[in-house]
Amino acid sequence: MFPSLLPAVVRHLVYPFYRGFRKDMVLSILKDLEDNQWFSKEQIEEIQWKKLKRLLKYASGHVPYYRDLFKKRGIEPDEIENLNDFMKIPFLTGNVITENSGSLVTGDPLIQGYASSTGGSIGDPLYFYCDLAAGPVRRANTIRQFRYAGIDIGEKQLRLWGGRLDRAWKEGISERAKDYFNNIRFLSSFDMSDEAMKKYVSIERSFRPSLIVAYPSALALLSDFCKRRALKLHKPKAIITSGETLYPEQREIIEEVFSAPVFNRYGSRQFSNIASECKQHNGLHITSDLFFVEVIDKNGRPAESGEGGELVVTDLSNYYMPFIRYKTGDYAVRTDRLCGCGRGLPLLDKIEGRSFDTIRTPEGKSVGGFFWTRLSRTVPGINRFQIEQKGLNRINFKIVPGSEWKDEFKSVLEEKIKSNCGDNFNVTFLVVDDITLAPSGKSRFIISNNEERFVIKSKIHKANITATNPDLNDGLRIDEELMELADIAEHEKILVVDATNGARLETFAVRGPGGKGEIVACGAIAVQLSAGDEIGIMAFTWSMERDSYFSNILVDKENKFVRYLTEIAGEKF
Amino acid sequence: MKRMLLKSMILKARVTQADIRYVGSITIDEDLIEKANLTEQENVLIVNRTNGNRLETYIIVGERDSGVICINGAAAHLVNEDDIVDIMAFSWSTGEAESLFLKLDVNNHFSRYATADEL
Repeated sequence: MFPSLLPAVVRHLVYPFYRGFRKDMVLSILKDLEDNQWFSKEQIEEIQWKKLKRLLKYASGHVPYYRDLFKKRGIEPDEIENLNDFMKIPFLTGNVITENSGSLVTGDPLIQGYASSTGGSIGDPLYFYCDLAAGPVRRANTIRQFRYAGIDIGEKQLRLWGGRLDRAWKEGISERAKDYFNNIRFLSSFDMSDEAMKKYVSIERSFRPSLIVAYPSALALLSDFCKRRALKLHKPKAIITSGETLYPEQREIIEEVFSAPVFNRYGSRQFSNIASECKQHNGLHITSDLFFVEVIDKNGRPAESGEGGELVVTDLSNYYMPFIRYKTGDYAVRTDRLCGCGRGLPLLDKIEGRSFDTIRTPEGKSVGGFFWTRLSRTVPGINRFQIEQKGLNRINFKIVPGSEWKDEFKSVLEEKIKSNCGDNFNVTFLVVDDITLAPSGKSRFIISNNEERFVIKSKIHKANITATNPDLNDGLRIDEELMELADIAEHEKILVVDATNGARLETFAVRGPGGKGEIVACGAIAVQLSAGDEIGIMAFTWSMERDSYFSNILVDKENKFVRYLTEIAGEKF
Repeated sequence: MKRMLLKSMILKARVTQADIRYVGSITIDEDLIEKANLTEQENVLIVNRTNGNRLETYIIVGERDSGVICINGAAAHLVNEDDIVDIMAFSWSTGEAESLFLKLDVNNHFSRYATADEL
């Protein structure tokens, strides 16, 4: 390996020369961005709104998707003056992008773009386009944010990252040369074996980086590895964590082992860096001269200061495929607090991964990542873990054990989980060799399901009343084989809807003889239901689980089972 | 104590189709489902402002931005095309109600959220 370049040589010669060669204006954009950050909150908002209005106008004029959407919704970009007006624009989601990828791209030949995709940390990768002209803006912003941490162009950077590898096809000698001339070295977060980590330690010591940029989970793992073996590392000036939620325990162990401050950063492949901590560590400064960031609560309204919600981002620099009100799925707390550093860029608190990455308990409590990471450190020997919600009161706890792991730790963990999540909360421990990382190399350690709702769980379609018996007690007597197929229990509450006369009534199911196809309306319900009426029978439940729990069956005129149904809007049987 | 509280209410939607011959329940424009924090299969109470009928059923997802509000099957006895209906969903909660009220335009597209005071 060649010796690394002097930071001053890179900063004053190599980098300016390269940028001049590319003619991409990064350094002059950087100057503007440096100025922007010290403006007042109001001045920055003025810049932001000017850019936003320009983008909206452009999108309605050149991007077919937005042109149609605005027309359909009666939205006039010129009339959007405040947040309330802006909120009329529906959210952009990954699904919308996938379904409209053609019409979301500008028809304007003057704007150039390039294809990109997310690593697919959550679900499928998202394919999208970036504006070529936004590249230098993003680069300049990254440099501005490095400077928050006291790091300048050319200083030696060590990156413990995975993102490079999912773009391997692009990798080549030129990429490596670029890294070399920028004083950057890469370590792969994909390989965190003891063997690899030993190698990473020796690279860190000999390269002596000023800055380490890493996924928090990977760097915490490396820190833990060094701490246990009492390995001494070179002390960098700063550490930037990004790409995943940074948990307090991770920050603690990383700062302890590297004796350097951690600067948390939030960003994504779609937008590059959206927010970063400065030396005050007082929340993350939003790059609001380049992005319009909203925090939306679970009811779809803007969160108040101090309240949490989903981050919804509008990229003010991407004209090729405008991202307007894009739902990131990430969660943060909004704050009106100003930072002591004097920057007018607003702050975000407590950015926590994907908004749905929490575990729910039967009492309705939501247990987020902070609890699980702390828990995993209460016993030794957990190298990696993953919590997956399997039902309202059960989880699977996957553990990749280290040498210090003992099976008796399970009961220690289980006790702590029960004291937090309730005694009826069931944990299944699975000790495994490995946990598959997302394609981006990030670890996704909580896999949760959705909130609990009142949903249909059973339906019998097109049944016929075979007889009525007003003298018996109230209830609908149903062939028990049908009840079993539709997963309706004895005495379960049901909603009966009469397609013949429109009557709808609630009662309960009573088991009738199996295989005869009898459905008898007993008691008071026989006033409204007559023999020969065509009915539907439904039962509901409170559940987080959907689809798989929906037993939806079709029967024929003799009430014999025909098949299970998947309903589609507008279908006719 | 848990109470069953109003969670979402879509106000004054216009029924675009009501046909007994088709399979039942209510089909709702996916955009409205999202904005009202609802989901497919979720139970809803439909109240018919035109004729006073009330009924419970569950949601099927309809085409996004189509403005579709379609009440088919047995329920079509109680609802006709062009009737004006409110659609409500409830949740179990120990906290205070944080209900969403959705106002629509004439084409059943989302117009804005209303506050409880303006109702």
